[in-house]
Amino acid sequence: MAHSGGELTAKSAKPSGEDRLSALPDDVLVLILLSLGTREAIRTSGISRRWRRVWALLPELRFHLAPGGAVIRGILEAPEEAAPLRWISVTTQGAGPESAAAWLPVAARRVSGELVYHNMPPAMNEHGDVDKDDDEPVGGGDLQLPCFEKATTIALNIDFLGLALPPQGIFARLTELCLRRVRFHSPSELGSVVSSPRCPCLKKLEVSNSRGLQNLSIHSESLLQLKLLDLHHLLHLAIVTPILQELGVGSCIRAHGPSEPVAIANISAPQLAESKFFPISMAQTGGEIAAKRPKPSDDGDGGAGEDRLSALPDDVLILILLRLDGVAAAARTSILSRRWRRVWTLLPELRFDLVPDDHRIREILDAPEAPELRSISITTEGAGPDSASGWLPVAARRLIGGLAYSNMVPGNDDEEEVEEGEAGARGEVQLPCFEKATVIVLDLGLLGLALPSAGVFARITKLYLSRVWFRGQCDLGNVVSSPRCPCLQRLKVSESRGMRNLSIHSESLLRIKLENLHLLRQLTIVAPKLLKLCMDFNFIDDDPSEPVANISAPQLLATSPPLRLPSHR
Amino acid sequence: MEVDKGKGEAEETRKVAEADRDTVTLKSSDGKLFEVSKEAAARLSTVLAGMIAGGSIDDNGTDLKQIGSEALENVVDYCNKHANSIPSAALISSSISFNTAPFKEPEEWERKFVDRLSHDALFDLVEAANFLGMERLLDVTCHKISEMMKGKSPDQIREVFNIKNDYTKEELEEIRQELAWAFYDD
Repeated sequence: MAHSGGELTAKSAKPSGEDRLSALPDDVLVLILLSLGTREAIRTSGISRRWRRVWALLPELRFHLAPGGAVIRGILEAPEEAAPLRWISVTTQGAGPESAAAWLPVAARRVSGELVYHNMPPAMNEHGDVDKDDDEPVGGGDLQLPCFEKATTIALNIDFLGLALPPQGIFARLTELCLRRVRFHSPSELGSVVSSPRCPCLKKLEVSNSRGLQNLSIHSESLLQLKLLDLHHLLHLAIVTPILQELGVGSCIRAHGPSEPVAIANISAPQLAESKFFPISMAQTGGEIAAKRPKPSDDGDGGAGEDRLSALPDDVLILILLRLDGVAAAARTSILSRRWRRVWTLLPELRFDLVPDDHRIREILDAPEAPELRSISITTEGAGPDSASGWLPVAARRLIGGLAYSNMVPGNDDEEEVEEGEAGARGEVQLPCFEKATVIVLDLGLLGLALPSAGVFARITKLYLSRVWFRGQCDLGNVVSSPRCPCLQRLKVSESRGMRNLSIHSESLLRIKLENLHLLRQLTIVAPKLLKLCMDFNFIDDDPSEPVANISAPQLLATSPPLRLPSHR
Repeated sequence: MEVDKGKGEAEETRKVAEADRDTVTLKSSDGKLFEVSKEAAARLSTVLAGMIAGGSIDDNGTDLKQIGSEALENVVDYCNKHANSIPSAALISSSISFNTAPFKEPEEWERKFVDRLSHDALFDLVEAANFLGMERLLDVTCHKISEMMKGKSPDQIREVFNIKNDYTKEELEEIRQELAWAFYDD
């Protein structure tokens, strides 16, 4: 039974009792070993003398949750004539610095290609989260990174082990460096290591989710892509990279408290060329979209037939009207009785949600007996620029508090759909100077916006602009800088277009957030009190011949945990 | 309500015994006396804070002639509950980004507190809160009244609150035209 089939297989595997396998040349055996995986490949050394050293010729080694550092070191040192390593990948879990310290120096001698070291967090704690907190030093000293003179790629993800960078040596062939979950320990200077003198070929650099990096000053003639994300404690950022094509920054800079010394952000990127819009995350846009549906019925028990409500003083009635859904609901109370005829016009806060008749907004705002307004909140859908241009001047006259205007784009929220020609043809919203307002929040649904070329926003503390297409002569930097916004503390500009240059000189700004600014090519921020700076956008250059990024933030102050990208919350 | 009252009073008596000087005595229009923590009174009522600071608190009962005993009991009850409640994030509603007027939604216990009130007790409490300058209590009670108005036609509102329609037909028509934008979906 067995022999007919058995003979066939036996024949193909072992035709003549000859050891054809061992007769193969080393390079072929290496190809075979490569497909076995490192562990099994090393075991082949036990087959015969022929095999004793074959595995040592392996150009690629992969140790997954495997042996201790000393074993890896032994393996790396074993070959008498060490073949250059194209690739070495080591994964450990919860290892201390001594583990990698054992084999890294040998790897540095041998790796001519890629080094990947991933130290996974130890087993999950009860929160299912092993992210280590700030300022919690990890014992056991630092991982000393030797200089990898021949490696082309280094990727370290080391679960917040301390990392000490080599004080000297040239990473002569390194083109890609990725450092994640690293705790940098002074006096190691990442900037000095990755800059051109010591990394002359570096093209891509990513540093993310890392701690202890206070200063980063990069001067690189070779860098094309730079990504900096979630860098805790970053005080000082300076980037001079003449051929940088892509810059992604998602980091936050924030002081610990008011007692900290004065911070200065000085960021400039004067020569970035045409950049491409890359939404890393869709920021939540303002505007209360869902109109609250009132409860169907909530009847009072009538009392004794007395009208207690109308007997209340105006200021209490206004408190009640304020809680109704929008101005229309408040205005409808005018029909109740003569007592109610004008109560709603005393409202210090006006909210219009999707009012169909835009001209009415102006009339209501313009009511002669109207007091100063604490708040104006207006939502329109698919409105043109004329709508807001009509009521904004009246609002500017009456408003002493906050303005929120949200123009929803019907059908989709995807501003990519809006073409420049289309937006241009519609003209732009003329923003008047709000001399008394304290807060302005505009989400224009990518309508054009012309900023006022004169006037002081004397009391404004917060300015948030979203989905705005900047047009007109006056640029944003001019408006938000101290001469014209002397009290401005928070500035946020997101999902916006048409702004190529932004130059801010503010004595009052504490926080700046810039997200997804299409075409921004030059950014300068001089803000001595700035505590927190958050940028979330990519510059991608279509034409690599031109761009120069020059970013420096020499005096930014102590930082604390970063603001997560909006998508994380 | 009776249970609440008893509990509130027991608590008050104990507090008085523990720290005599930490309370103030308030006297309603009908002569009943109520004890309330000095700290809570000063924190929740601008008027009482002013009186305490100005030394015009009478140890034998500060006269609050405008406030009946039922309303004053609710005021005192509210102060005690407020002092004991843990402030939650809901106090500072997140929806509006203006720092000028954060819209304060009532907390769950505050809703329950006003929900159990009769129509008249609610209005007595609004008036008392207004008189005493109790901003937070005024917010909570006004919120309740606005809830009672929401989603109702003018006729229904008149009915719930016993509002007498003193307009002429012509006047009503005039208003409807003038404020057509407000009535468009009626």
